[in-house]
Amino acid sequence: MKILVLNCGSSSIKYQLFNMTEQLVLAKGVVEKIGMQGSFMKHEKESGDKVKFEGEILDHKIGIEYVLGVLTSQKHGCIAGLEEINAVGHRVVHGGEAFKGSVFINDEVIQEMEKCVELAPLHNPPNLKGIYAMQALLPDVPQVGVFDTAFHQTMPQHAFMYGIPYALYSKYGIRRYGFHGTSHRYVASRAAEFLGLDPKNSKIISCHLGNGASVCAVKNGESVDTSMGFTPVEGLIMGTRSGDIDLGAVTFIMDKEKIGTKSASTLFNKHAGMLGISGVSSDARDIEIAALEKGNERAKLAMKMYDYRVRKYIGSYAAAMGGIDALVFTGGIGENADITRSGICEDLEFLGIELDENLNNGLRGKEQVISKEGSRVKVVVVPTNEELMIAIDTETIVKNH
Amino acid sequence: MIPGAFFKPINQTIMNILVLNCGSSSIKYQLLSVHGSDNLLAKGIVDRIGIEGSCLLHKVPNQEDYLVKTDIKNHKIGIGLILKALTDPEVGVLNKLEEIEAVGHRVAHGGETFTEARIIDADVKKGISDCFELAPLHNPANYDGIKAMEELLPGIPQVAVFDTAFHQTMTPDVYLYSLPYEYYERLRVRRYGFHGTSHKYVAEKACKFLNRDIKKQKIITCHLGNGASITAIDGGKSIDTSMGFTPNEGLMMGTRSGSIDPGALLYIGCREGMDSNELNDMLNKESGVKGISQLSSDMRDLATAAREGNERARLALKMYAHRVKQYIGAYAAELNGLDILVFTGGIGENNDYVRDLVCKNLQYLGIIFDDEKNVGLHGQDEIISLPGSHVTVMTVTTNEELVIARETYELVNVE
Repeated sequence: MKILVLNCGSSSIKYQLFNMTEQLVLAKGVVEKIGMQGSFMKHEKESGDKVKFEGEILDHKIGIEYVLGVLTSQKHGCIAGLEEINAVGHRVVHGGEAFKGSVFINDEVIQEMEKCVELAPLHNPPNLKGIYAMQALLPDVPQVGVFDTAFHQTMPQHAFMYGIPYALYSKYGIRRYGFHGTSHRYVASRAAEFLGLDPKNSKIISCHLGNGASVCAVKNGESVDTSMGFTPVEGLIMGTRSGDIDLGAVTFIMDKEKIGTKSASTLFNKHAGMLGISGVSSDARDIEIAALEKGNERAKLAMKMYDYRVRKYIGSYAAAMGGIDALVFTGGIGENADITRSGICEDLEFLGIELDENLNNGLRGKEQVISKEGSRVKVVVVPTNEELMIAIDTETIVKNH
Repeated sequence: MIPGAFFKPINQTIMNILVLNCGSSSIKYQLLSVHGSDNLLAKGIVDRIGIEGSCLLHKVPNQEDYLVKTDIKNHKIGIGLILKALTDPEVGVLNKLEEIEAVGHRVAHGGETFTEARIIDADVKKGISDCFELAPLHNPANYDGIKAMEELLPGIPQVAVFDTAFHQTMTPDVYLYSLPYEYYERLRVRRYGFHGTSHKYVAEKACKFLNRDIKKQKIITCHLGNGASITAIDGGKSIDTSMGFTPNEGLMMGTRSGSIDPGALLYIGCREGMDSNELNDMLNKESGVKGISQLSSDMRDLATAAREGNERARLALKMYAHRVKQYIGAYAAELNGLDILVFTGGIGENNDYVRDLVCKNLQYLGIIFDDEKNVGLHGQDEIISLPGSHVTVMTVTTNEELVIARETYELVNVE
């Protein structure tokens, strides 16, 4: 089976075409700056050959037309014709409470997805655009929706409810949803496999540390708690997001600076986090350089705060699950930043976590155990692969439909 | 150092100390004789200052309660009534006001200025008023109480004991929020933490009870009362605490939400058209276990309702306990170990249902809970873990007024 995976953002489309027999990527790429000046498309074949096309790309439908065109082109393509695409999997950010797993997309499903737009007004609309576009361009090809939030729908009520008037949950659906679900699901399951743990009898804490960052407590294969909440702002310190913060501080700042909810939202989403503390950058590598090579005190502080926040969540989720068997690092930073992994795991012997510096140093983008042999808790790096997970779900659902 | 040689301690070893806890519309007071055996001589509350229905309720041990209903416009008038009651021929406990030898004030917010209790002088008063912005509901009232005492008993030594002081040992990576740094520099936005007096007291009390050197202990103290907060204490010093810039961070409480997604807060503000004040009110007065259960903010009521099968009450209690449990886990990780876990405050000292929910399933931390001992345990200093438990779990009674009185005594008696 050949499956096309689409991840439509507000002005971009990321795509990968999979050959499911070997779970190989036949081609992948990205369309950027849709509807803006300077739009372009970058495409890469299995062989590694890359090509870039520049040109006006006005909307997502046109963007996808380009993608389909390139995939079937003589020179750069990898399939003879569009009929070779057996199914399309879409990454959808917010599935609300309606979607507890991946689904075959039909009219009913689209209706439900449209209701979820209220919960994620920036993210869901482009996801839907991608779906409408594929329906128009390849009307007979089955489509599947895979939700960032679905994996966390197994959280118990006492973990997902906020301590606010119950009516706000009933009326607006305000509760913890959590994100990066596909990634957490994938890496927790890979880790269990890799370590020989019984997925139905295990306590795994998964740390997806990328531009966005979240921790997930996976008990017996199910998410039972996660650090992002109603929105992706909650939890860890991120590149430009604040993560947890005293609400009294939020309202104090709004009051003092005379800003409303929209400006406050921008502040906590775009100007806070590592950028806000360090004043240097939102990029982890820039901050590391500033801290370690240039001795920038605020950059050092930002790194310390970052590690500290992750550590507290690890402790917190170990308590929630009654223990921990494995700790997983994934995401751009989790997979590549040995210094961050080391900083996080420092002084956690009481929890049974002992990192092996030799195994950890320099490890980038590979599945590997990085804890000492005698460590009660196994620490592993597992590169994430949300696209593959989406493709696998798509294949399963289409086959069973 | 003692302001006003006019007032000298009548008896060097025992002092009568008046403790005042001035809230925005109330004053709680206790008159204690301190040193040797500490005795509560009288206590009470002036309530609804500046509102309709103000009153003074005065209690003396082994005597009937004394209630005065009268218009009480401000704190000075309220304190005047307290002093009158204390020296009243029928319901008083003192012959004359001069028998009050010092006054201890609970002050909510000491900012970064105050790291310990202080004898009140002009500098200290300025420091307290500098923090009005940080605690607009509490510090001005605390300040009013201090001024009132200056006017009613000129020259009497006064001491300020700060809720925040104990936590001033936190390090920047712990107390800063991940915001543009200028909000700390310019607006002093950072974690301060509260209940400091209580956390410090119960940690020391626990070590005394267990005959251990506090400098060698890793302790987590859970002050669960109307407000609730948890503190991680390493070698006797606070290294982290769950309340933050304001008391509405961390745990879910009676009517406070505790931490929630800032994005959720802003979404509510937007959809409901609420401004920052309205959001604050909702989060501080309508949320917490009251907001979830829609039944009560009182944990005893909820425990009863839960036992009777009320689902929302059960949910509220589970949520409450879940958050306490999570903080214990987080702080045990931070301390990289745990020797003593303390429960204190109205709920911590008295609510076995909540203690049980919290301590369940924490064997991996070395906590072996004594279910039997826990049941029905009220208001005692007692161990509620089994002998084989690596972590000693205790209930410890707190008494902030007594601590304030003792700190006052220590400072005033320094000569």
